[in-house]
Amino acid sequence: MALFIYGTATNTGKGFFTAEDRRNFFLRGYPADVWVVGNTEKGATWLAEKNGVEKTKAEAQALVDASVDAAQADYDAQSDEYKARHDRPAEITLP
Amino acid sequence: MSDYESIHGRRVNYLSSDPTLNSSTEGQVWYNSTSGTNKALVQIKAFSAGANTPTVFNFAGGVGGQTDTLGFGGVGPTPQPAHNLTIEYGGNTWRAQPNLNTSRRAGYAFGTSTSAVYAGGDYALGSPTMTLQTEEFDGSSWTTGNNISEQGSFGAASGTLTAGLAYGGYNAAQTASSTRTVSYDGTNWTALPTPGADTNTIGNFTLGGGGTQTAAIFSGGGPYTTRGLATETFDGSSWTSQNNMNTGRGGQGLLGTQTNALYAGGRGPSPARTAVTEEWDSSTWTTSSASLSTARSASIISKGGSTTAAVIGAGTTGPSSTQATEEYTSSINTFTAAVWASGNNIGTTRRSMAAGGITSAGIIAGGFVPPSKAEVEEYNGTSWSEQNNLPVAKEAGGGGFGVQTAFVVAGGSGPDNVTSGYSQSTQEYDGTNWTATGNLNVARLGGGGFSGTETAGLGFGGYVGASSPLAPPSKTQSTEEYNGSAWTTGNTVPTGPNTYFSASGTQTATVGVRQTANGATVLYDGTNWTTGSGTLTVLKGIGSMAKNGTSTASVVYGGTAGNPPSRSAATEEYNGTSFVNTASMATARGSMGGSGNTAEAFAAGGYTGTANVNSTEEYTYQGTPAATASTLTTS
Repeated sequence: MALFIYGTATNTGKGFFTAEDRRNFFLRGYPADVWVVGNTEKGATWLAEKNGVEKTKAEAQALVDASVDAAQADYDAQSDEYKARHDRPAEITLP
Repeated sequence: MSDYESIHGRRVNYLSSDPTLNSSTEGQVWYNSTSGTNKALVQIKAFSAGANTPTVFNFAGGVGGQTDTLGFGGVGPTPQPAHNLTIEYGGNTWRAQPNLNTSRRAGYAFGTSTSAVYAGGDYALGSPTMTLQTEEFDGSSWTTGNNISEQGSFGAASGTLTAGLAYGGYNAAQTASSTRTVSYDGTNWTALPTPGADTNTIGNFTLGGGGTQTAAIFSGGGPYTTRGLATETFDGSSWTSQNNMNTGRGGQGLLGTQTNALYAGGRGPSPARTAVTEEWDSSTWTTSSASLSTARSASIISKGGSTTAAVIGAGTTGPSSTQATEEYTSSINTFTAAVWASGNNIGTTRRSMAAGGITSAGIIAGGFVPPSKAEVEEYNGTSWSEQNNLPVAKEAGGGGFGVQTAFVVAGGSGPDNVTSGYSQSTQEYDGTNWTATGNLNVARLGGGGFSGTETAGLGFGGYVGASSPLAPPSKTQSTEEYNGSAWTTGNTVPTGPNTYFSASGTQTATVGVRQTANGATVLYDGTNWTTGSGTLTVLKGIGSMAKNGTSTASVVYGGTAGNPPSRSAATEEYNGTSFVNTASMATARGSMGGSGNTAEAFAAGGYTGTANVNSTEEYTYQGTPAATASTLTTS
């Protein structure tokens, strides 16, 4: 059985994930509103309750990659002073 | 079916409220008539993960307790010869200690972490590979003493440096198993009478051993189906057989004393390793409800530990070695784990804001998208509300301190009072309006530590810009104190890998955490800087720190970690002595607007390494351990 569920959901703020949620299942947020959730009943229920859209890992990774590409292009257009103080956005690999 | 009264000879207590929960209440069962529940106070047993050993240690010696376990010698990563490394576990990490003079494995180990003895063993360098050498550790170095007699390796040992006992295992020539017992007085080894002081069972791979020279105990060994079950105690003259363990095993060793001992893991009865753990109460072995997560043998064991606190480090799983450490704890106390929960999103998505206050009364000001921002928002623990803007847009980079109604923003990237590209300006916020006050003496953007209050603030270190006359490097050791209207220069912060800090505390008691791998702490007392305790365990760059904490209690979170560095969700609580890795944020980010005290903290906005975010997360510290009654249910 796969360890994780992948999906997109908009962080609505307070209550989006509670302390109890964090103690009950694995949860990590990524660019492009991608969320990786532990593949458990509670994790799956949480994603559904947040009106999340389940994605395959490849689909979720593609969304993150597109976000990274855009950020890298934006970084490359910045000044030398900006680049001296900020590192170039790095690739992100979903678990 | 038997009832409680017929089993225990008394009825369950009928109480209107829970009794005082402490060690005297342990094991009691009662009925709480107010809640209508049956409850009990029981020991909760568990293994938890500790830090990995720096390399493989198989058949190393081990002494000490759960917070000062000393491991020495052993083999790994190569099968032979043994190494001479010594490491000490402080509860969080394994630190290197001075090496043994003679590499060896499976010697006789006894004593404490500051007064240890290691005698005999094999797989030494050169030929023959057996050694009878004795070495003593005084907390600073190992010194060589007289050779052990009679015994050679793979036996057990008990006692102290000046009153030690070694027994069982292989004979000195390593040609046969031995039942002999020898004593150590800190200088000489003396063979005790045979057969009077011989062990009752013969075998080897015993290892471990507990108690004292005149009240010793050992269990297990090979063959696993006979010697592997055996337990014997020594009274200074002779050995007496006791009740068997429930699971026969060897190659790991018992830890503890004649009245309180633990055996975790080991090899046998099959060639496989076991994770089974048993507790000894002076007469009987009971299998613990907790077992190792990694079945193993040949580990570093904390021989000075007990059935309530012990360490099992490294060893072999059979097919391979493991560097994992597990801590055994048995307690009536439980605690609430630290946790991050989502808060409401900030109104203006950005990073590098100045921040202050606490979760229920927080503030963020300025920041960077790009461009720099002037927006100010207050948090009440539920929602963010926009307030009057800063007079100038500035990327503050952490240059804020104080509380929601008495907040100060200093330095940054604003266009006012600029020196070498960055601002010296300072603005104060009274909960409604902003007022310009005295300039910093050194213009700085961020990466500096800021702490204290609106009338007694502190700023130190930071980034001064590539065009600064102080560059290269583009950093400053400058320390400045703020009195509510002006900044005055203080003693410079100590040099180090860099001058980028996060801070927590007051103007006269601040801890600065250096933002680098294994970043150390510095302490300010209002005049001088000194070296603090503890180093970062995961984070390299720090996203935020609960700056309204104290110099001995705070939390750092987010930033960067790993190699190459990437944005991290890691959180480390600081207790004045060390950093403890706790619950991670949901979103890895750095450059947040974050602040807090010793009970709560928040992380708002920030940069994920890809984009700015507008989300907020709220942190609840790990709770203080407290005795907790369990509610009994039917099934």
